[in-house]
Amino acid sequence: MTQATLPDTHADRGKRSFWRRNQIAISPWLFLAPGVIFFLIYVIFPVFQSFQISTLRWDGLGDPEYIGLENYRELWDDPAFYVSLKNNVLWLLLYLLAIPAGLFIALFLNQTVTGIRLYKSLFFFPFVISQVVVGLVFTWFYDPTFGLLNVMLGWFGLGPINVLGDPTYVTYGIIAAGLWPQTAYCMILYLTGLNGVNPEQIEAGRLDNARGWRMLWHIIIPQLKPATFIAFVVTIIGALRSFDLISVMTNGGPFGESRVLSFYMFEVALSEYGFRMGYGAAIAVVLFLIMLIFIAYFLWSMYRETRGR
Amino acid sequence: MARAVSTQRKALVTVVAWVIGIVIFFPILWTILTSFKTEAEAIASPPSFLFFDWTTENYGEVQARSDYFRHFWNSVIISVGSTVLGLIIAVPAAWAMAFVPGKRTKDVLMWMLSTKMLPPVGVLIPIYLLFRDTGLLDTRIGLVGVLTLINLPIIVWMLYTYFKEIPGEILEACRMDGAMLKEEILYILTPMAVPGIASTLLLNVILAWNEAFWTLNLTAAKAAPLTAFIASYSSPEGLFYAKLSAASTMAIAPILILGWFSQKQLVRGLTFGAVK
Repeated sequence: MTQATLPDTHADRGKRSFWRRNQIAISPWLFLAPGVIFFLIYVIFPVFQSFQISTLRWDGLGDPEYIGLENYRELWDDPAFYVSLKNNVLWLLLYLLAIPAGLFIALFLNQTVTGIRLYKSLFFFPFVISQVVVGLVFTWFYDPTFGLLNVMLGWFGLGPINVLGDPTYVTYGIIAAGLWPQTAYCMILYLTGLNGVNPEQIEAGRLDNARGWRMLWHIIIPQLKPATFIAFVVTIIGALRSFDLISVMTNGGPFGESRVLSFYMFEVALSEYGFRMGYGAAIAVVLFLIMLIFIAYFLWSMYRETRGR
Repeated sequence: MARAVSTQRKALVTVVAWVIGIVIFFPILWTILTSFKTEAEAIASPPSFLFFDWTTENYGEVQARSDYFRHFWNSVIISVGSTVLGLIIAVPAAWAMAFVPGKRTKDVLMWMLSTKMLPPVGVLIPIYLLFRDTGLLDTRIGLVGVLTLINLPIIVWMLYTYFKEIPGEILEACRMDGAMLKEEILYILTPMAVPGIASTLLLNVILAWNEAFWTLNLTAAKAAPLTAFIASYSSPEGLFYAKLSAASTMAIAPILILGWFSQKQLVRGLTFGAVK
């Protein structure tokens, strides 16, 4: 960690060009530059452009007309916007359930299981397959006539339920599909993390009479912090990928009840329903600001933690 | 967590664990099985599990209907291309962060990773317009570019965690011996970093392979990868469950096979190197 302050051992080797004398000091910045530049092009620049487009009335082709905050005012009175917003919150909250669910399966499996290697791969596969496939498989699973769900419900004399055709259930149905690979992923993460738990601390805890919940809460979970951090990040990213599942499973329906903000924006701006770039950009900006608050909180708590240590 | 466990208890745990595992794996298994059924058997009630007439006709029909191999090839080019390009940009950046950390390195890294949590729609319209105006819509090059940028934070982050494990003393030692930057990177760092780079490569190929948001929005026909190929089967064109299963199986098979053989590196990759 101390190379930055190393004395330049090459300085006494006679005359050298500026580059040869300073390459150790300069190269990190040169190396960092392409990454940061690309990053600015992709993230920062388009974000500002989105802000700018959101103040226009524009179909993407003709002359844009500046209308100030008119798009935001329209959004304020748009019931479809609130449905999408509500669904976004549902996605985020319910997706986070994958973390405790994965933790508990991992804790259970951490006991010796015959064939653990093969076994782990069973959990591993759902995460590496495409969300589009996940969506298709679950659409079929939910099918009111031929789907396995209703066959199973039939065994108990229940159903049939048309999960994806019912405004009340549709969002939960899609989230359940997304939770399948997400839980499997968290479980793998924790299973890997549990390998690194210090057995001496467990032993010490046991001597101090810690059992069950208290052992879990005070001794095991704190040691799983890196795993929890990654689980959290990946789960949030996953919840925002809701677009893939929705477009495959319901296309936002029925009656737009399963839309989330990103899907609604796509419908408004880029689908056959119209090319209202300005209105779409306004939706994107709102979603963006919401996530910004969330991420600011996240960064702030990470920051506080690194200072605290 | 060694504790004396009775045989009976162990057997019980094993059985319960395997039941959970099978349930988790079941949707994939079911899809693969159904792809070998006829359409009539696919929707039969009660469904038959293994005892049906196995047929491969669905695969032929899917290939005939929507040219699997062209989509497959697009997927390969896009995922491998974007990952390699991403590595070329990210290796130097991660090197700088890991070996010459400044006061703010950790913050920059966190900031980069946190942008991954921002919704991609935030930038969809500007990028869509840019692509349209520059003729990049529905081209492989355009997608390679976008996917590179999208996965860049993850690539940098992963490489950083791997590079961090290479002891800095080795670099100091070879610098003492008068090695220049080029030699340092070529002979000392690269050999030690290869496993980390390989597992980063693997994970990001898979992420790019599965990326659907951008591929669905920015392609139409020519450059469409496998995600678009399967999505085309979601349109309600009637009851196609056996063919849909065959298409899904074909789309996930390359990843399942790749994943099976590289599981160990992948688990490390999937945990972003943060958990050992």
